[in-house]
Amino acid sequence: MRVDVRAPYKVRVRQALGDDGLRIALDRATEQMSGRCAEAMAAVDAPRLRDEARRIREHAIEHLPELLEALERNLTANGCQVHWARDAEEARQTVLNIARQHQVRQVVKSKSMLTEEIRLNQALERAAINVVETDLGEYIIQLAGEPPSHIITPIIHKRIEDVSELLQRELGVPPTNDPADICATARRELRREFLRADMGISGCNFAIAETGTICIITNEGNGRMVTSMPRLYVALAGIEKVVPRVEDALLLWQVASRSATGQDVSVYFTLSSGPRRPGHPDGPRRCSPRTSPLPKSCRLPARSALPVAMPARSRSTFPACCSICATMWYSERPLPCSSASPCERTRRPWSGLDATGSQHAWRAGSLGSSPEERTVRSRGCHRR
Amino acid sequence: MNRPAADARHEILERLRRSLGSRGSVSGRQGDHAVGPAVPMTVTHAEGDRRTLATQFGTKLEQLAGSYEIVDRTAEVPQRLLQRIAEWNSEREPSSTETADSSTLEVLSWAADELPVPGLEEHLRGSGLSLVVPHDLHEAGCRARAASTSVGLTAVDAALASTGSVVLASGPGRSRSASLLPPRHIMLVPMSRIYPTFEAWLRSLRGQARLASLLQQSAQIVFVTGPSRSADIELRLTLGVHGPAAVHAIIFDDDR
Repeated sequence: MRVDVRAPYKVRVRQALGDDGLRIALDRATEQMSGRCAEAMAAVDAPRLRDEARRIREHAIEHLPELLEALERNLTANGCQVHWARDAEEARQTVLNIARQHQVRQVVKSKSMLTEEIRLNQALERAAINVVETDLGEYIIQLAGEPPSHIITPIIHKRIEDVSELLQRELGVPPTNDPADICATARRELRREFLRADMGISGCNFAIAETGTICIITNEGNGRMVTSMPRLYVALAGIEKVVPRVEDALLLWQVASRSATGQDVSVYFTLSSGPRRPGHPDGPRRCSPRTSPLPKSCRLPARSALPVAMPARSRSTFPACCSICATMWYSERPLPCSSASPCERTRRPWSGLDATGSQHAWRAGSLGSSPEERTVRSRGCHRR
Repeated sequence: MNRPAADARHEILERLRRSLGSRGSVSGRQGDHAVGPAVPMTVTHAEGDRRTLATQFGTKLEQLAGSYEIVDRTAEVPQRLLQRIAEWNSEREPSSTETADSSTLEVLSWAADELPVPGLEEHLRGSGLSLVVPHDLHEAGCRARAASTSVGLTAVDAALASTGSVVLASGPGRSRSASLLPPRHIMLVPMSRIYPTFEAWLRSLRGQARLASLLQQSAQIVFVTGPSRSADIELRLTLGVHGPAAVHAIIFDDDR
């Protein structure tokens, strides 16, 4: 890996363009992912599915204030405390305050692009709170001290040899070229973290207004651990994550799974509606009957301005965008799958950039780019 | 910098209302936020009698690296369960991280009255197998014991034939840990709880006005579709990252 992820953007692009291995790895991975997604979408009534997904998102955006109020009401009724934040700073402060109030020293996190965007880990670490990323890929890049390069496969840029070398250095484990060994190492290390953590933090794929429910999608099971093992659970949700009903979340989950990884559905879909109730053996708990109940907090939102800045279309960071749009920008191939229809509508503005070199530049650029840079690009994908 | 937090909520909602109001309603629909758009489509499909659905559920699960068996009578379930555990005990642990016990004597389980097989606990005890039912995972001793078991046992609230998924609702006597911590998970699936699709299951709960209360009283429900997996390393599939590497369904005809 010849790309210095800490170098300025243009330097990284130049380095990455000179790295043939990297280019081939990314081409293969993104081709493979696109193929799987295309198959999964072809297996269902894709046009109708996209259309329904878009209608749900549009509806939610049109009714955002009412839905957010309903969500807050139901989360509160479920025993959650809801916090609102106008910007990244306020969001970070809120999480820090919760952590301090509950003497939190150890945090386990499920992958969340929102927390990447607001640089939450850095803020917690500055406050001497230990944060461990628990998604396998995120765990590995955290050990490497790098940012993720893709929203579903964060180490898409790393070969297994790179990972093995990293684990040898950081954890003193023997070298391997079998992903199962790496997986076993991570399971062992992270199991300990799950069992001793004071607080779990996750993002939110969907927030169901009618029931006050936070939904998260995972394949590994770390999302279940984070929402079940620690005594305190904090979910961070952008305001655009709200949907009216349970049925909407289940439809969007199926779209997301097909579009992201080509699965019918992800292995786990976790729907949390507050702290454990009396008599439940596990799950986040009320801290004490006398203090205000704060077993779970839902922060809303980091980007209050975002949905209204959008052309009333569904903003979606479904991962297909990462794998697909880059290709779409520079080629005439049809979109093999769709996480949200805006991609189809908005790809034209980018077709001016058609040099092959630019395609690789984009991919190279996604490596180790700062969250801000990534965000700009992923939003650009939905801009008219 | 320290602005009153109470203002954040008001400011955000006001800003949203202003922007939405000035732009007007995009579709012309108004005031139907409680209803939402039309009832969503059914994405995947399955049909047939309970046997057909059971086979389809099992086949789907198998495609996802899980396994299943169909048992004719409820009374045969305990024996099949013991056989499965005996087979696993004779194999290598699916995840090298767990201490390789020579045999499983304790099963991390839902409470006996949550398992849809009468007399199961007595039957297992007679064969030297005990059910560990955690009462409070926040207690260090309870947690350590739960974390050291190598097989988890649960029922399911529903099984979905078209995707090979199950629904597990947490509650008293229904730990999340039993389907999460051990490297192997056995699910007891009565045929009466198999639905063709997610949407059929949702419709059924909606029809009985039980959907919202299920979510809220359970604190957490989880849809589980096969064993824990990751493709983070070179997109190569690995099983058992954090959850179980092996998921086995014993499907039985609970009418018999």
